[in-house]
Amino acid sequence: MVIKKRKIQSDRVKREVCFLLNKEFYNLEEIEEALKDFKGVCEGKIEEGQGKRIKILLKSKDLSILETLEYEFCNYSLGLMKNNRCI
Amino acid sequence: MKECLTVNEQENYVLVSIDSKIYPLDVIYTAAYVFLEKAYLILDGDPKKEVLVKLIAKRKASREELDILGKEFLNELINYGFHKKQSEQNKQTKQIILQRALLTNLGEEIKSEEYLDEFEDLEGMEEDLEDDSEAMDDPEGIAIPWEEKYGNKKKKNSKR
Repeated sequence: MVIKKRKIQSDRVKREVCFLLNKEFYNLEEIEEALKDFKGVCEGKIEEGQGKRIKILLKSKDLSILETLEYEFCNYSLGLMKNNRCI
Repeated sequence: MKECLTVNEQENYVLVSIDSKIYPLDVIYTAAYVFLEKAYLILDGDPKKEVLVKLIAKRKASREELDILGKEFLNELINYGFHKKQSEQNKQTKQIILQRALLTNLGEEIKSEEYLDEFEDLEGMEEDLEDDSEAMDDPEGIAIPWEEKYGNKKKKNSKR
């Protein structure tokens, strides 16, 4: 049971975190929607073309939330997926 | 049996491996949705073979706590897996009840022959259901309506 390394980098000086999400589980539309909703706390960018993965770069406005920002973003995206699909 | 929980105390997470042939993806999503409040979740793996769910505790947790978190997630999977299977089994019955309820409220003018043709199959199923209820034993007389059982006595009493 191996989970591929997801986090590419976390830069406290630049207040940036970069990570990968599996396209098979996370839809691009929901990630875009989550980015819009997160505009209050961070700026984000989506980069495709990493095979089965979506590369996401988040630049936090507040340093104190940098550590959990990635995870909160993932949870939020997952919640959106559930709501939009009405699973 | 293959171990499906891997606890990493140092990095504060538990990795749950799920066979997607046993639990479909929608069940995994639903269980994950329930856990959004308890932990941070990341889904990975191959949806056709093995789904990996990484549950990261929101606060520093011990090995035991992480293990419990993983096991609770597995329980939730069973819960929603069962719920899905039951709702699939009851789908036809629910449809009958709903259509019957709608048909009752439609009024007589709409109940044309063409319209009723659609419900022929349903009526057949309803008869089957009624047959089943007739076959049921009732030694205590519980299934007998109140009016049938005590209606005559009341009339006699009122006459007095």
